[in-house]
Amino acid sequence: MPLLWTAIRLPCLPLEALSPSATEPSAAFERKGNRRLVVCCNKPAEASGVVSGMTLSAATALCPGLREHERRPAAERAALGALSAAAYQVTDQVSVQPTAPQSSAHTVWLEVANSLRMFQGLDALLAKLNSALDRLGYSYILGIAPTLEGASLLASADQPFATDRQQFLVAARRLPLSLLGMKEETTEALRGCGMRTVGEVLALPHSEFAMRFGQDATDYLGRLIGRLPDVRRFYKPPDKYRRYFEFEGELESTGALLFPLRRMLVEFQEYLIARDTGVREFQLELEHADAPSTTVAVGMSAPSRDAAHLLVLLRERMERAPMPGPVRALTLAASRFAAPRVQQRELFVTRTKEDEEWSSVIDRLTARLGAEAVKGLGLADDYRPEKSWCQVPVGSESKIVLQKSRPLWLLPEPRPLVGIPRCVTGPERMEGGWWDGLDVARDYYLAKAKDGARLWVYRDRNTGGWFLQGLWS
Amino acid sequence: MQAAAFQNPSLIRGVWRGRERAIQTTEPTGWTALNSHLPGDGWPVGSVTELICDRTGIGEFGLLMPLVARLTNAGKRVAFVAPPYLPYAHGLAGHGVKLGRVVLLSPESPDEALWAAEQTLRSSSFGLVAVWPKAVSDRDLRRLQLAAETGGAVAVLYRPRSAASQHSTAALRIAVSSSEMGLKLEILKNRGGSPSELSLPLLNDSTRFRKTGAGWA
Repeated sequence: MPLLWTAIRLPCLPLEALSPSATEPSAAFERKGNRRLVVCCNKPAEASGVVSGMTLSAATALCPGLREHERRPAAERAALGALSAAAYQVTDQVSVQPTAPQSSAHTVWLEVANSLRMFQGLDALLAKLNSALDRLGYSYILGIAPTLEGASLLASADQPFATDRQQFLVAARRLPLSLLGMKEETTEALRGCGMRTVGEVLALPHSEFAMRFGQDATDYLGRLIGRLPDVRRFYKPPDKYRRYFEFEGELESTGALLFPLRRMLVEFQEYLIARDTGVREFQLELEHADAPSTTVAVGMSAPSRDAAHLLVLLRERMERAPMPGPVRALTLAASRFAAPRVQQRELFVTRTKEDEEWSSVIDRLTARLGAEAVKGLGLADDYRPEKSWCQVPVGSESKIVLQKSRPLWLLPEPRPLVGIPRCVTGPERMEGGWWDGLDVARDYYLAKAKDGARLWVYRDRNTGGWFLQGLWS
Repeated sequence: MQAAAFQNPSLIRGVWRGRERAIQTTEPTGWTALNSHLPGDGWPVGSVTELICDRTGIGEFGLLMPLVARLTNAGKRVAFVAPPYLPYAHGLAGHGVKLGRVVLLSPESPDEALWAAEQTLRSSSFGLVAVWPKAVSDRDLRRLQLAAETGGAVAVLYRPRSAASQHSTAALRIAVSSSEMGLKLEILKNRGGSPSELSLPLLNDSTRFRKTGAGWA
């Protein structure tokens, strides 16, 4: 089966990976010797005339308020990981291995020929890919061609898609040769021979081209037109999720954390969709400049992969645990996953919606009130009242045999009574507990208080003292 | 047109006519005597009911048990928010309540209790939310009422006698006290119905208790 490659070209990743301001003109730069060169910039900076390759001093001269961000390879790698997860949603053949050494733009490639059948065509596949990429919010340009290098070439020229070799060659021939992924000196040499377009280069006799321009350039052209195979290492979503995000400054308030958090959770969501799973538990570690890090752990009643829901839970937890100081970096980590019940969606629409609503409210309550404040009631196999019930996770059903007539209210602990209560019915004798040292020998009665309350009291047969243990109601 | 409207006020939109009862969805209380006093023959759904009583253990909680049992057995969920004591699992189960459908919320502070009440009421996951708040301001009441409208549950607020004089947006307010007969209910406010009084027989779990003798029953 012929291959079909999609290239996602990310012209602005070095800047976008640093989560810059959307409205202020910003640029990412890198150091080359003593010089600081602009790698890429956002739209407002572009509008002032900033272009990649110029020195940072030139850029600030053009655009006085320019925010400068030094590019950080680690942040770019992490962003590529998130983008790979998004691409993994449409195919398991995703690669980020760089090819052309001199290119500063990042690209994610995916081979989609095998997935076309599943999506019943390229349009549906691209729709899914586009929506995943749009959620992540990076700027990108797609290119599609039968070869990986071909897809890159079309993406860098922002050319229409070519789904077969013929279409590709027609589209590629017209492009300037500077777009080819070859070393700069090779491109210069070709120009020196009077060549301008990709088509002219491709028309050169193969063996002579190799002799004159070297093996690397020849191999590249071979891969470009599909004469040589492209062997790739493919991305595989990691078993454990860990995403580190370092701020350039320090963030003072939870409000300021919201934007990066939302973005991290969307990335996390895309990772979960790629793995077709949901998360049961995750942690956010907040790194402070002058205090030990804070960890916020969030557990869920049902696995989820909805970024908005995860954000709500996280916010509830963070509001409960005030931060000891400004935040320098965030780490989002998760290792407990389980498939959420979304496969049933088409079949049992209402059921799933109810379930979602239910787990969302229980999670919200647990996040804010703490797990110990959100409980179900269970029966325990013990005759002593204080041991005959237990708190269980919400929703668990007990299978213990029911005891006879019992009051509706139980005091947390039996309360000693002054005087002898006015007993109406009883006694019911209760003995036991020798097995765990909490011996009881009690006679239980229903007593009536002056104000009408009906009390569940007992007389301790060892001491003769009276105690209140519950209230009928 | 105007003349016609005078003859037949129902032609004018927005004219409220007292005799027309708002269509109120209800859940039967399980007490025939009580149902007959309530418009729609039951607890109002989607609006707040206040049970006003000063004493715990007179039957004020048992009053809800027929509803709790019916809802939980029908697969619906019930939340108890900040109750004064532990709802005793064996006692509830003795009333036929399915415990797996009961959620007990024990927030640490009164504010969190109100927050939890609002969340559960709003969520549409519960058939009944019973709340024992410490203090409720007019604003809290309005919020709870709004949440109840959104979620569509029976919303029961237990409030002290002192709150009886406070203005309330609740659809139904019943003062609960104990009497020789059992439980005395004074319906103070009854939207779509009228104030009245009634007695319910003692909600007697205790009759199942043996009257005499000693030892194991």
